[in-house]
Amino acid sequence: MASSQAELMRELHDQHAAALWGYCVRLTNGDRARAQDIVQETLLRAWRNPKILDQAQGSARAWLFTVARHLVIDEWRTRRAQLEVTTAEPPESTPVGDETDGLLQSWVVADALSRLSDDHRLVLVECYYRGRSVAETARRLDIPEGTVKSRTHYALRALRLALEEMGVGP
Amino acid sequence: MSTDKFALYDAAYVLGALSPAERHEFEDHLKGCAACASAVGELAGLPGLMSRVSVEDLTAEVEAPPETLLPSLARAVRRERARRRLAVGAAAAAAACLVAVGAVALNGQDSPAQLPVAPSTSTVSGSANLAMSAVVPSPVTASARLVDMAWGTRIDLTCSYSAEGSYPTGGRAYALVVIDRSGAEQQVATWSALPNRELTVLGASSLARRDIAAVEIRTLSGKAILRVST
Repeated sequence: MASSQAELMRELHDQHAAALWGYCVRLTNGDRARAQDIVQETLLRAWRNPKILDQAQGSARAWLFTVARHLVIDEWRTRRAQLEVTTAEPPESTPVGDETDGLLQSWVVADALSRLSDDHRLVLVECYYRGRSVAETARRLDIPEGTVKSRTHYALRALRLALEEMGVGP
Repeated sequence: MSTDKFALYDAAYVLGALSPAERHEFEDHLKGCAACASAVGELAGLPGLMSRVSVEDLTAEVEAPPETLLPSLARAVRRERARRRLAVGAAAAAAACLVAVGAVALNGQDSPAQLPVAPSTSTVSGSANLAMSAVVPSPVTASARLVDMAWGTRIDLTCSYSAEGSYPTGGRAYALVVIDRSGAEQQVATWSALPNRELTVLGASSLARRDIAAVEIRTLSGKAILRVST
C-alpha cells in the first residue's frame, strides 16, 4: 500500500512534471522556487484525486495545467491583498486573468505539439513555423513531396485530436 | 480511404505550404469535392491555434524539472499518509465511544484535548458557525462551529452559563448530540456546567458535515435545551 502510493506519485512525476515545470516557470515569470511549490502542490492534488488520471492523458494534462494556473492566481491575489494592507506599493506584476488564459492556451498547444511523433512535428515546424513549401521541406528532410503532404495530413489530425482531448478545439 | 489524389492535400493547403500552381489546382478541386472541402474545414482552425506557439518554444531545449522535486514529493506523500492514519484512528475512536467523553477545556486555562485537529486536506476544508437557539428557557447560551475533517466533523462548542436562572431538572451535566439527515443520533460529548464560565467543548463525529441535520445540547436525562439546524 505504502509503496503503491509512493509509486503513484513517482508515475505522476515522470509523466507530467516536465510539462508542468515548463508551464509553471513561465507562469511565475521564471521564479523557480515558486514554480517548484506550484508544481508540487499541483501533483499532490492529482495524487489525492487519482480519478483524474483515469482520463485520457491529454485531459489529465489539461486538468493539471488548470490547477497550476489557479494556484498562481490565488497566490497572486493573496499577496496583493497583503500588500494592500501593509504598504501602498503596487504589487509586482504577475500575469493574471486574461493573460494567464492566453498563456494556458499557448502552453496547451505547445504541449499537444510536443506529444506528436518527431516526424509529424518536424513537417509542421518546416511547413508552418518556418514557412517552407512542400517542395523545400521535401528537399530539406530528404523525403518525397508526397510524403510531406501525407505527413502534414496525419500530423494535423493527430494535433487536432490531442487538442480536443485537452479541451481546446479549433 | 479515398484514392483521390487530392485527399492528402488538405493539411499542406491550410498550412500554406502548397506551391501556387498546386494551390489553384486544389482550390478548383474543392469546388466539386465535398469530402476534401469538409476535410479542409476540419483543419482550418488549427493554424490559428498553432500561431500561439513560436518556433523557439518548439525547438528550445526543454528545461528538466529540479532534481529536488521528486524527493520533496515523496516526503509530502509520507506526511500526508501519516496524517490520514491518525485521522482514521480518531474516527474509529469516536465511533467506539458512542457515549463520548468529549473534551472539556476552560478557555485560557487548559489546552483542548489532543484530537487531531488538522482540517481534512483531501478536500477544500470548510466549516460553519451556528448560533444555537433555546428550546426551553435555561441559563445556557452556546454556539457551535462545525469543521470538516478527513474523518468526519469536528464540533467546537462554546457555552456560557449565567449564574442566574434555574438549571433545568436533570442537573448540570449536559450532552452534545448530533442528528443526521435520517434522524439517527450520536452523542458526541458530555460535560458539567460551570456557572459564570465560558467553556469550549470539543465533539467529534464520524458523520460528514453535510450529513448533519441538527446539533442539540441536552441534559443527561435527554431533555433538549438548545438546538440548531444546519
